[in-house]
Amino acid sequence: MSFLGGKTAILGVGASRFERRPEASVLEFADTALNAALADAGLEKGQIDGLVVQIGSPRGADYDTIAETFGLSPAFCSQTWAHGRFATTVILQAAMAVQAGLATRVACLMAMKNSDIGRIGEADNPFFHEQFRENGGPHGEAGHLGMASPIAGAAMAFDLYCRRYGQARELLAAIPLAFRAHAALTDDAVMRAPMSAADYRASRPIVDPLRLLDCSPVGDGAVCLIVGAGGNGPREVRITGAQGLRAGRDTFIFAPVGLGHGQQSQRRLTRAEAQGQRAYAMAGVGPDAIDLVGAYDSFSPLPLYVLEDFGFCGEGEALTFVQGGRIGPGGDLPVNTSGGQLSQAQMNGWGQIRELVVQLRGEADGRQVLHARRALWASAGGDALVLERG
Amino acid sequence: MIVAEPLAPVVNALSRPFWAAAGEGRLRLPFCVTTGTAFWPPSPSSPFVQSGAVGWRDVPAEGVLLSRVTYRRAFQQTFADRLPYAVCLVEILPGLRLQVHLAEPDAATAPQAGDLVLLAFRPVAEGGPPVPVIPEAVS
Repeated sequence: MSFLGGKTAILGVGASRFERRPEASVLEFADTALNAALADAGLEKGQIDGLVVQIGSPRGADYDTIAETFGLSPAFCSQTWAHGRFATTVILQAAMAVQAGLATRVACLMAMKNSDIGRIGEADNPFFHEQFRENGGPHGEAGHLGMASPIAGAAMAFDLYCRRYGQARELLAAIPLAFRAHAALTDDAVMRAPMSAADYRASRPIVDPLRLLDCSPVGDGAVCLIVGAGGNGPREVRITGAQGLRAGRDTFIFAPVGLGHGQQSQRRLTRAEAQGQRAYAMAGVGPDAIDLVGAYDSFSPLPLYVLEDFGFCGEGEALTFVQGGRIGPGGDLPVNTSGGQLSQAQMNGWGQIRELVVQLRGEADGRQVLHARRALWASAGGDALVLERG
Repeated sequence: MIVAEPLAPVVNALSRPFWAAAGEGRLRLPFCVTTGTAFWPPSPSSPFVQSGAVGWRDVPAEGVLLSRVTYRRAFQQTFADRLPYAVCLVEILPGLRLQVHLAEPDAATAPQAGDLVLLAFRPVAEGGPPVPVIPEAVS
């Protein structure tokens, strides 16, 4: 077993509410989430000696502001960039700090406020200039061609995916419909109104082949997790497997490995490679041992790639795999059981990790997955966590 | 609110050969001197071998259209009155793909995935530099 395997645990989780509140400070969301996580873990803030922040100013708040404002005194601090792809990396930095003896209890915080800035891709948004980033934007943007906003890269990869595997674009409805059904059972989900297949088909096209209901609603809120050494009782959730974010010519943030988008090869992971990913190997399990999944879903095609690259089905099979209620409430493999980013809230994946902790503790009330013992969180970018009940 | 913004690509010493050729209507790409293989995006050293020298060469401005996305909503002021428009992924050489602009994606003559397309270099924004586009078919 690796040095992380089972020895590091999520001791507490907390979150703010997720409604858009343009008049609020992002520090209010952060404060609510931090204090909820501390209370959940039974800790005082003086016991926090590490702080890893996902999103800094101006969309969030930087680690130094957070520590000073809240009266924390962490001796190990770190921070990642402002996109959603670093949830696992933040948690792994905390786990590594604990295992290396640099800290004992690390607050991992994602707090952001989008309601007072323009939409991502537009000129009054702090990320506007990313579409002109040298050698291409982080989601395939090329502003000089009109290739603006992250949705376009997700749309292009999905178009390519459907063509490569001869799949019908309309099958994608199963993803947002399943997550909305989960959200209906989730008190703090922002989008709880029932969604029908007809609602989905009638939703406004944004960038073909994606529609409005394929997009997660960017909002406001915070999620905090406290990471520390395991062995603190039955409510802790152990991190038994993990792997970091992937990058390189064979990777695109909104596509599976080797789809053939951009400069990717067309060599997809084999089934054996997918089922033997590092996070599984570290945990000593495969996809058959996973009871529920959190899959990064800023756009609805993304969970398809997680299901394939992490071996739940073969390449090109995920659109078929997700039909018939398999990933919805009561399904064989529930995915994003609190509604995901598409319906609960766009919290950069953190809402899903919090939900997996709640589920593994058996505290998910009306949406509890029976006998939930082991969960996978993963993104198409390749980062992943295997979480197990304490 | 969408405010007007410049649409200029980053042009510097690394990428200037591409943009200089584009201004003359030619497609010029970097290639690995060791393997002879063209690549994208521009790099000061080959992505295929260690510390490999890079040259530039003209290639035919054509390729196979692999994928297209059609904007029904504008995220940039410049394109607000040009909807719909599309951005296409075009395979220029095996494994080398460029994004290009397509102005009239709903036209009956608009190219579809699988089609061989010829590229041109034209401004898509007022005062902007020539960028790779799929020109409208001449009927």
